Amino acid sequence: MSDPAPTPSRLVPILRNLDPRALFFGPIFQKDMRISGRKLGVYIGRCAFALLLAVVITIAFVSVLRNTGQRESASARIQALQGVAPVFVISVLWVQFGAMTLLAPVLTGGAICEERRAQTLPALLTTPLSPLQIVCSKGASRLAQLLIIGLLSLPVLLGVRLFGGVRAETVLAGASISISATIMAASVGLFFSSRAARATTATLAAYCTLILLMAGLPLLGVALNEYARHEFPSARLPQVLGAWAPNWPLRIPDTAIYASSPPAALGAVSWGSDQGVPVRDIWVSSTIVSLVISLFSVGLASLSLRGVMRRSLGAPRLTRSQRRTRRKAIAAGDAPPEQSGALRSRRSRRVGDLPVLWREIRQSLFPTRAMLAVSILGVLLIEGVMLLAMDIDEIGLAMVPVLIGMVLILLQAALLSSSGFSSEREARTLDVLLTSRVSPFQLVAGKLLGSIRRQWFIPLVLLAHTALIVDFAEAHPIVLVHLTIIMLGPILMLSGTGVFFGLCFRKSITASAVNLALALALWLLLPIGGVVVAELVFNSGDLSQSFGHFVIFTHPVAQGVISVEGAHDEFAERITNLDYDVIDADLTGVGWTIYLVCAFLIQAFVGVLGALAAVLRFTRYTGRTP
Amino acid sequence: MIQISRLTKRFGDLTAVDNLSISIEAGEIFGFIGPNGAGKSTTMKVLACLLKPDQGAATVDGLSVRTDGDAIRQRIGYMPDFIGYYDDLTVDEYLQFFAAAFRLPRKKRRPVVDAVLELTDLTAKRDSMVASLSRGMSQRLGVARVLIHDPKVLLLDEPASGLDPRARIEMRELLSELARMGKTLMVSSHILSELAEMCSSIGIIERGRLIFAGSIDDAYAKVKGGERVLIRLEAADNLDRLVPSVAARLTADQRVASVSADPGKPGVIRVELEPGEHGHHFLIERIIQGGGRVAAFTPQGVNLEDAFLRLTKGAVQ
Repeated sequence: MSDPAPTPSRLVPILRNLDPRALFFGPIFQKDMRISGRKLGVYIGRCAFALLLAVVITIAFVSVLRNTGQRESASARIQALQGVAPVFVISVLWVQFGAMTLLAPVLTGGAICEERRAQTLPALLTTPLSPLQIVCSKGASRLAQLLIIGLLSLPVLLGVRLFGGVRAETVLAGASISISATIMAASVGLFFSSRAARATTATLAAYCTLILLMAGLPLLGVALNEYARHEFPSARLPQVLGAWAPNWPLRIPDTAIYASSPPAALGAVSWGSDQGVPVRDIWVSSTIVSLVISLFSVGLASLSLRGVMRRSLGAPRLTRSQRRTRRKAIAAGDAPPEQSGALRSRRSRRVGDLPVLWREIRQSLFPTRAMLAVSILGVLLIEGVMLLAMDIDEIGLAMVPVLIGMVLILLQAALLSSSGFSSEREARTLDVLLTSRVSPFQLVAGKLLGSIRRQWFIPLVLLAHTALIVDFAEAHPIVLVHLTIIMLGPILMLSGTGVFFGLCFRKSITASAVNLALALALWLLLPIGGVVVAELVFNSGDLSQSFGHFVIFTHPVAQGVISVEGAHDEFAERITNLDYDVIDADLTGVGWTIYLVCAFLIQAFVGVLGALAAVLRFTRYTGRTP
Repeated sequence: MIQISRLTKRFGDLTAVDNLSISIEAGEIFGFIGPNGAGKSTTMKVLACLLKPDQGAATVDGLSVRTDGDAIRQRIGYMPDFIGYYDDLTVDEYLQFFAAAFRLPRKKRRPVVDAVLELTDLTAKRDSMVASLSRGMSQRLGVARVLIHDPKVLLLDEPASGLDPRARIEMRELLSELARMGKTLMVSSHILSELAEMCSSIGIIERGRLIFAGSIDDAYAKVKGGERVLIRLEAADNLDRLVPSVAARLTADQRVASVSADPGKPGVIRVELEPGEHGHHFLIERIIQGGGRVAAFTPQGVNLEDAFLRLTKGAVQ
């Protein structure tokens, strides 16, 4: 009698799958790298980053030279020259950090959901590749692109050290924070890409999560510490609960607060930390936290990949016990037939006379009601902590969510509106629609209004929060009108340009990225660049002031801050008594309202112009009458 | 009903449709045949006003695709080779959507949707989500959609693609029913036996050029001479030597175009005759002269696939 065959170890295939070459650099990585190598846009993007870097360096250099030239003695000039290197390094590190973390979700947002949309994911999952290998290879190919961008600044960082005055640790710390934050941003993007149906939805969800992680977590940490130190005398929690109010004993270490936010950590590396926290502790712990979140995101994406794919093919979501029962049944050779999890039928509604608009306004931002419920619950939780534990009478604290909310609104408007036409093209429904009698104007208007309607959630949360500020901090209710006007302007503008870009680009994620780039250029690069040029290069207060006016007139976040600040006057009962500080000018409530309406009209005009350009392009593209 | 004259459409260096001329009468079912990438879909897209021709002219019901796009859209129903669906709508909503898109008056929409659902046998699926339909039902929904505004002309690009035999038969019956209703159909398909049973005329296109247009009988007549006969010789010990000997005898006859032995099937010989009317007796005589004995003799009639393969010069091999 022969010996039974040795049972193969289960560990061997697992270890084989964890081999870094198979995990990161497998066939998917090679395919994606080959595809990206053929894309012109990739090279244009790299050139744009190099150009941006060159502009930043030039500005820094000119500003330092001007300062040096003004020194009288030679020794003072030499001393001033020693300041060149830190300015260079810090500028480059921030540009590198901003570009890489902003690009990462755009690159990874479509990585998996576009495979699913192209129906290639089931084919990939039938190969010996494990879901972890698929997710990691996708991430690695995108990170390789980002690494190339990061390497572009390496010669500058190394060359600058010739001037002296820069510690090697600063460069190492900055690079470490940037790279780990980029990996985190890419991993969060991959996680949402494995679950969302559209690349733009995944990208938006990734941005929202990253902003909440990078800004929300440190804010929460600071709030809890302040509460623990009893530094919020007006906090509602002790007032409401009296003796039952929890005595929050735990003090979150400052290092942990820095570590939870890569921008805060990079700020500490650039300019030093508060409360004397060692910078080395900050950057090391920030790197570790970012990498842990990355591992968690990639792990979740890999674990859920097969389930998500099965559900997209119609299989139901099973509970743990159902899964166990089914596994046992399969082992016993008696597997019950799989029931469909997809919605198979529902009562038909009556379609309106404008069918495109009818369908568009029924598209929800949240794919399921459960997701909407979770989002509302999350908002209530954050708002609850703010209301109860923090001193919301403090206008500064009240303003932070307004700032975060405004940034989210801009991101949402830039990303959501661009997917209208390109998603029709991706779903192959555009040809069919074009053979109908729907006019280009109807199509564009339907897409535009639909995308505006989908953006309701964040503005509503922001208004609700502001309403609470009005109540608790005794601010003037006109702030609600102001914020509505401020929010509507960019929403209209970016939705109009988004619809236009959606027609110009074949892929929705490309259109969204271009629209986002427009928003970033207008509201991030232009203000920062303008102020830096005016102050440092021309050293002109007048120019700086004029530019400041331009920024405030166009910048929704700046307008939001001024609106909340100006309305926070408990003694002003009439709008005319309110005082809004716009650089060197003081406006009353009426004046500020007119100012905002004018800014809104210009932004709305740009949005309408974008929509009209879309109609014209569509008319030219299809040869139809508008 | 459809007139295409010297139509040319280029995409960069590629000429997708080259100097194409076709005429389709009202009430005809015109089968449009060609290998992949031959230019069928491009021609249909030009007729559907989705692409502009670079040269030449195309008219539908006397209206030019260059200038009368809006009027043509009302007269045609176009079903692309890959039908994209709005998977968030039910079957009923999907049809209502296109009824509204074709600007049917609100009161008319309900009866029209009911009628096309009935015609395409989808009434039972009215409230089903479009995403949940099988391939056959999706194709029928595609046909239902093109009928929603009662067009005179239907341009159907591969309507039977990916369907099982039963669904194909149902689709064929549906299209025949539409022809009986007086519609003019232009149907492209790779399933040539389907077209043979359904179409009154065909057009064969290869590399953008039309190489045949006319009735199916004309197509058969054009390739008639090339009849093929399959001969199986009786098993014998010397079959290895016998087959070349018989093949040589057959090749020597002027009426025979080519002879080939099937290496996978010992004793089987394929004979292709020269064009023209020939009897088969001389083949048997030549086999006997070559020392062979006939076990089976199967003349193979010309079908649309043969006509297609011969007319397209093997471009689809």
